[in-house]
Amino acid sequence: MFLLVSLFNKVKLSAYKEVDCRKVGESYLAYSNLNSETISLSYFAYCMLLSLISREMNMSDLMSSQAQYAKELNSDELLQVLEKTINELVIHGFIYKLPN
Amino acid sequence: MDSKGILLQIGPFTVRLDSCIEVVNRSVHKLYEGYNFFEEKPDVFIDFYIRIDRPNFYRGYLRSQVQCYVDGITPFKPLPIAQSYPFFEWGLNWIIASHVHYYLLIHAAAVEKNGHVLVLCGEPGAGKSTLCAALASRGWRLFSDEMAVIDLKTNEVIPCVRPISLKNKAIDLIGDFYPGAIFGESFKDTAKGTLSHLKPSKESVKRFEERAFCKWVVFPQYREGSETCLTSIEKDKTVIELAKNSFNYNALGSLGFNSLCDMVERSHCYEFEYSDLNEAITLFDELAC
Repeated sequence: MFLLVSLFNKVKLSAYKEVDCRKVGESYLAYSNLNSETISLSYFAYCMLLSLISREMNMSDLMSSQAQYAKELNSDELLQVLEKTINELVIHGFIYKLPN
Repeated sequence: MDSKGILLQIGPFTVRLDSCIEVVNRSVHKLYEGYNFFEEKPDVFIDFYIRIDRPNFYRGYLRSQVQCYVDGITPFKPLPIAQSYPFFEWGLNWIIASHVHYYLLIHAAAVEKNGHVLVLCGEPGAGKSTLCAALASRGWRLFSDEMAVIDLKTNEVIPCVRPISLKNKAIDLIGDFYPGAIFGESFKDTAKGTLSHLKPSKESVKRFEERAFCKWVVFPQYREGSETCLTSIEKDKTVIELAKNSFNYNALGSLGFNSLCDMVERSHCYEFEYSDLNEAITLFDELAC
């Protein structure tokens, strides 16, 4: 896992500035003006996107900031969930990776 | 050209209609009775110019077709002259949906009771116009049958009262349900089947400037023989569905997203299956109490 995080730390993640997200009732939503896509988010993904909207982060920053929202997960599971969430948000045009 | 211009206020829009087709003028005067018709003056700003006319000798007289000119352009193919009046309504829908980006426009019906708006959104054929017409016949104030117009600053729903477009079986259904209904002429063999327009109530027309906030977003589905069933749905699903049914959500960007989220935030959201209009109205009346 250390190797994975080290690899991930070579890239930084950032949200596109055209991205907006918010809580509506008990739901979480995000909108990307790049492709006009609106998606439903889990609470975890919402917190992650909010963090990335506020500033760009590398993987270890993100792991520490997100750990509080997934207390039931161990670090391996957290990494898996993060990786999956990042991929989804990249595919849908909400965040992007950039070299560190 | 023997054309008589008609200027009228339809909700927040000022429309000028020119047509020398008799049925168009006759239908407008019947179905838009009570609206603010006025004379053209230099200080009156016209939002949309619509002309329904024969395009040329060949199409107009040999093939009996009409064309709809919106702000001087012809975005549609000509239609049979028998569909002249629906062509005006469709042309008006098109021009509002494709040009008005200072409001959020959702393909939905909207009615109001006790100061709260019920937005009925659904695919064509889901039964939203039928339900809207039934509610409007039982004391709900019509805001719109075709599009919910949302103010981007205040998030209020803006009335854009127009005749309710009913299709096929819904025409007789509403005719039986509401004996006082005033219909325009029936237009057969349109792209949507037989079409007739229900005149809005005087009250709805008179109060066209009174806005209100949305309190309920409902996705109705008429299913023959089904039980009346109202089911709560999640707000994220509601926002996504409304976005899909919006004419200009994509053009508005974050403004549209936030406006839609604000509207849904303050609303109760449901899916609604029905077959009995009386039961449906009783249910919505209870909600509005």
